[in-house]
Amino acid sequence: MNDVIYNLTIGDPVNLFWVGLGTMLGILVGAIPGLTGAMLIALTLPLTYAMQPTEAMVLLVSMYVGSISGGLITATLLRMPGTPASVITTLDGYPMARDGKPGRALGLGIMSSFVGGLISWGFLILLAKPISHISTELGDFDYFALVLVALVLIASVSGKSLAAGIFSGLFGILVTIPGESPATGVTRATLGIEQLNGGFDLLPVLIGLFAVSQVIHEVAQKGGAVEQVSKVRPEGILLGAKDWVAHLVNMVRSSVIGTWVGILPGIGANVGSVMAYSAAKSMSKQPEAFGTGSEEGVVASEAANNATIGGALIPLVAMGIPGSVIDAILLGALILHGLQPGVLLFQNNPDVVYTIIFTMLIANIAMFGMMVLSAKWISRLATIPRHYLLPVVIVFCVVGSYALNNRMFDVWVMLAFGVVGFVMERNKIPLAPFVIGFVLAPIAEEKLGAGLQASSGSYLELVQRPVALTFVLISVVLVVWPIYKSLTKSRSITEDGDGQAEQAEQAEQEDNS
Amino acid sequence: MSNDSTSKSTTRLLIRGGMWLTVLMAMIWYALDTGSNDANSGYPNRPITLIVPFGPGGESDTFARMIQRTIAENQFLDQEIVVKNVGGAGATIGSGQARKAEPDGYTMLILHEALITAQVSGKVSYGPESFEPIAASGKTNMVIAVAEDSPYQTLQELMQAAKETPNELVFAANLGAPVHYAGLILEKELPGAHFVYTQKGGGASRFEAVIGGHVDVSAFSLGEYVSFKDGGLRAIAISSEVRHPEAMEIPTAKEQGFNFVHANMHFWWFPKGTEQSKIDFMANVIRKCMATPQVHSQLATRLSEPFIETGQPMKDVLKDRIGKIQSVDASSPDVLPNIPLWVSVATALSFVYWLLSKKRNADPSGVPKQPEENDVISGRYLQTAGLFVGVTSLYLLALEYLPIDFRILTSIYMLDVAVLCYGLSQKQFKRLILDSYVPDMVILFPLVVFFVFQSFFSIQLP
Repeated sequence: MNDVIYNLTIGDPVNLFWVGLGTMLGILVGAIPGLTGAMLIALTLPLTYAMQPTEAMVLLVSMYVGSISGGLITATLLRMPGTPASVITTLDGYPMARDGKPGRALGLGIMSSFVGGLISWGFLILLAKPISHISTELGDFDYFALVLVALVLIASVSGKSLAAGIFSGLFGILVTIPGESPATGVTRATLGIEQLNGGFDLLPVLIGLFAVSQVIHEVAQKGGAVEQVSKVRPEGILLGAKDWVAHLVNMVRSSVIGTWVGILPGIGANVGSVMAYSAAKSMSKQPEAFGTGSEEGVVASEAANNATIGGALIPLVAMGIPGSVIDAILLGALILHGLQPGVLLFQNNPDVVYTIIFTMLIANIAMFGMMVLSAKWISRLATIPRHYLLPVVIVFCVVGSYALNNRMFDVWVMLAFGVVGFVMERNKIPLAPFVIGFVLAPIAEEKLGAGLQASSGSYLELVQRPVALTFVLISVVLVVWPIYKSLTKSRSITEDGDGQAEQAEQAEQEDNS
Repeated sequence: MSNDSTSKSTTRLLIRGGMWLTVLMAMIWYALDTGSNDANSGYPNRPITLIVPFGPGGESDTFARMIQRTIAENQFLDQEIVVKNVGGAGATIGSGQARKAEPDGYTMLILHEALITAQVSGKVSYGPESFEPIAASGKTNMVIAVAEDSPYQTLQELMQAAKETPNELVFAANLGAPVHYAGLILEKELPGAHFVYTQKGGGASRFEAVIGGHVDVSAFSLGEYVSFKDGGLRAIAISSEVRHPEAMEIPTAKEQGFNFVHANMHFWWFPKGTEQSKIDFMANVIRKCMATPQVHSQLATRLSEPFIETGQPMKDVLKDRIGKIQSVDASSPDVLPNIPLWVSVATALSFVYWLLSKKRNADPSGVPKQPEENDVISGRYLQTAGLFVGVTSLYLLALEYLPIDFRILTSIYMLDVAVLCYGLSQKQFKRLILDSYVPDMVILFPLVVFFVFQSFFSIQLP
């Protein structure tokens, strides 16, 4: 149809140049902890005033694709998620790299990012128009129940000790309490500190937990055995057809989850990767490998976070509703260039709509090429001696946390959570449940609050609405199932086996201290 | 072997020379580029910081940057205006920072009615009285809208329904923010009418709630309404005095018998105590900006008016708004469970459970105490970790409170961290200084970071 003509717009050399530039900058910024894609795009936006609207959108969407993907390099090799979207990738990517398979870990991540992007692109072009009718049907209680499902998944990502996982998740929720109540806007529990009125910002907390705690650990380690990330040069980034086939089911499933999460407003790429990761774990034949370098974990996380891009673009182009922070900025860009998203945009400016859609496809291909070619080069970061690397990383953390809101308070928060993360790691408390609780609790609270305000305090709708009821039932099953499983398991395993597991754990504890 | 080390040191010399030369040239270029515009004694003689209390990309940020660009392009000021985004907590983080700034005319705040509503709703203790208003600019009307298939065709019908069945109709709001107050001020027009307010946040979420049938009504800016209306939104009233030329089909609230005349505008503020001459000067600059064709055409795309008011008329506008906002009660019924309490209790319980399960796992096996050597290593490990955290805290304290340049402090800090990584003995220190690139990195890296953030991202580092 006419689509082909619009396809040609993107084939324009100028546009291709913007795709290349945008994707590359996105990857670099995504790879640097503290600099996010949202920041890059927001700060590039004023520079696009002089450009054609289509060119501006090409540049910005390419940055979006690059920045969500770039985070996986540092997440895998340095355990520093360059963006919140790649937090979950650290859980398995880093152990893989440490065990001498950095190239393979990167290759899997890049491959699944590419596939995730492609699959969600398919959804984007198919669903952009019809989807608008479905998403508005979901009410507050439906949303709340949906988030509830994700929250109870904490239990399934808690690793060896369920008690430690639950504590970690609840602690993450507790940290969201100070600041503005998401449900009422009332300020609470700030202990009189005015700077805390907005609560703890996501980025400083995550940079602290994942990057700073790691830096503390690395700096302090000089006495004991040096835990180098990996001295092995990353080989085999380009995977064979066998690997593509082996991970196909997981990639498709994670991409679909990611796309779906992306469509829902307010939930970003990080939640998509969390949900896909949990799903992959519960369906895996080797769930115990998750968190220790599972290939499936890397694939699930990276396929899903890239898939959220296509998902989030659906409501943006279809209705002008942003699915994430970055999409909100893209929406601002469209309006600045005099374009109103919505049904009218499809009628009056199909060139813009299809340029956005095809940019995502081409930027994905560009991302794949660039990452495969440059990952080796970027991964050499991992072989730099620590006395070069760590000062640079910690300064990036400081500057990145500061630049977020232009205030020192965020930098202090970052340092404090660096210490918290360090202490938690030493006590074998997993970090992933903390992050899930921290990210999801405010959404759950806001939706529950809005629902209760509208129903004047009645919870009845939670079981009256079919969608809400379905999700509530799923979460009940998710709570009961692991308990049931662990009960039957402990009955079948002899005391001997139990003792062995304990001994192994203790041995590991000794190793670490 | 000596040959090898000679070639190694030659390489090092080359790399080092190259690095330094590049940086030196970049710095000279930069100095030449920016050195031309100082030598000016009157106000302003250095860049003015404009605090935008929201993240980049939003309505206020876009407006502020539009003015910033217009000022620069038309050279209305000898100096640059530097936009500083300080988002969070309903704009109170940014407004708090502006309030505490020196009243020297070099810190400015742009903030709409949220400055008033934040005080009235009890979020913060200060309000407009803690600032010097400079100007009110860029008027955007509000639209009261329902879903396309809503039974309410006019504002009259809606308000009657709200009166007959009070606290039944749901109004999507951003609690404690201007939209919430728009609803409250509207319902005051018909005594006995009451909406239930529900937390929905930004315009897009409110839109979705309306067309999804989850709420009955909400308020939008005219610009938002126009971009959303094809999704199934129907306006029943606009808050302007007369019908808007771009949206003639929307009847005003006034012609339907409700004195609901209301427009959002951006107010410009200086900290309390700024000299009157500086206020007047800046008011004049903003006035000139609002008169330019660039601003006119950009505002027109968003259906905003190039409204500008300064001096006494602006103070009257402000006083009127404060009075209206103070006249309504924004407290909402408490229907939520005590979430902070529940979460705290649950966290405490799970902590105890975790401690118990840890103990249970450790006790029965009765492992002997770990060898002493391990204790020593573990002690040293924790000591270094503590030292690192201490050094970092000192660095942050210095950044926050000492008037020393970011670049110098960061250089010192990076050297400290490098030493911590490499080893604390004198011999190791000597080797680090003489035999590695650490000194180069420590000096060059802060310069590069500073340059990139300051000039490319225009973020002022501490």
